[in-house]
Amino acid sequence: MARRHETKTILIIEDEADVRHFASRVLQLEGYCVLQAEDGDKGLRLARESPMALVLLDLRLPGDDGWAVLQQMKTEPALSAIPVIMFTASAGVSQRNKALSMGAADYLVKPLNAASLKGVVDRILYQRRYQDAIKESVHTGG
Amino acid sequence: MKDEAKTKKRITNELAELCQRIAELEKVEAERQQLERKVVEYEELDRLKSDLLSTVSHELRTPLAAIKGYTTMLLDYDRRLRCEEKQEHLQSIDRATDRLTELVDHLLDMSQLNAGLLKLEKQPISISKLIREAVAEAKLTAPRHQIVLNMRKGLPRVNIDAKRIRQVLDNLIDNACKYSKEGSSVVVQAHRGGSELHISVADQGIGIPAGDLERVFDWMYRIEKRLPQEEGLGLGLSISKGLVQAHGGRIWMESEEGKGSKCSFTLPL
Repeated sequence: MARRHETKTILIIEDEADVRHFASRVLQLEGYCVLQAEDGDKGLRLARESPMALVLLDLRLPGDDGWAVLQQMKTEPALSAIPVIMFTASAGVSQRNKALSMGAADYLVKPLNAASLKGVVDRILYQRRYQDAIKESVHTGG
Repeated sequence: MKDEAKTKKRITNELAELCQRIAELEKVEAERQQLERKVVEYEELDRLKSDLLSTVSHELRTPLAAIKGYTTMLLDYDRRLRCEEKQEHLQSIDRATDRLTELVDHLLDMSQLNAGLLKLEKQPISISKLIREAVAEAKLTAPRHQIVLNMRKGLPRVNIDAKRIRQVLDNLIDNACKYSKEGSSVVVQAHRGGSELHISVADQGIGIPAGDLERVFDWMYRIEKRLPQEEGLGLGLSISKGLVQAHGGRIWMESEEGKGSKCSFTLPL
């Protein structure tokens, strides 16, 4: 079903195995290539190793939490442009605002249905493609 | 001389009045300090309640995420999933509902214990049988641990709520396995000591710092110290303490960091 995407890679950083497998399987069924990490350290390592189109990031993680991973990604030049969607069971408005102000592309609260997950990922990647196309046209003067 | 006496009397009166004023001020100050302490206590309690609510909300949403996620995946992608895969997803949903049920049960138990509303359904039962059953089931659920039963023969029957004492045993054995390495031993012991029955569960796990031994049974402390990777609310020990005390027993923890812990409780005979 890789009809609308050239196989883009999405990284899921989530310590809950069942939730990680669900998100991973839905995105695979939608034609994405998915990498999984159960903690922030492994997630950052994978993000540095291969180009990622998007990262789905949980907040409560063993070791460095989602905040630390988001901050690290936004300060590291090679990773800062990757859109990060927070995917968390923490429903607080202040946390949502904090994540968005730190540069997260969206903030999804669990539980979430398969269609919404797919919809948000598609939308963020579409926006990114659109922004990249505008930048490209500015560069080439077209 | 008369004037001097008058002056002395006046000064004495003034001094007495001053002493009374000082005493009153000291009383007011003590009351103010007590009120200040109460405000701090209430603020702390309020913060803990808010922490508890946020932890409960987080813990409920996590299994709900698995249930909602897998259910909608099965509905939306039904034709593209193989039978075996569907079975796996249904098992995940099943696990998540068990986790939710446990969370709700724990919350209910805690609130009933705190309000003193928990009703025990006591009847004389064979404690040996109850312990043997708990150990046999633990061997199935934690097959990678060596669960050893060391129990004296001829233990008397005890008047207890079997379901609740089984809950305590399951919780202690589960904790022992959770905080010790696979392959290590978990020893369940039971013997009669005077007018009490002594039951203990010992592990060879990470142990607990001496300063925390008393507080591991305190639910507020457990909420505060809860690690992100810990599943559940960490209320098991608090509930166990409440259940043992409701039976008129005692519960305590002994531990040495890096060597293991032993949680013991008594039941009156």
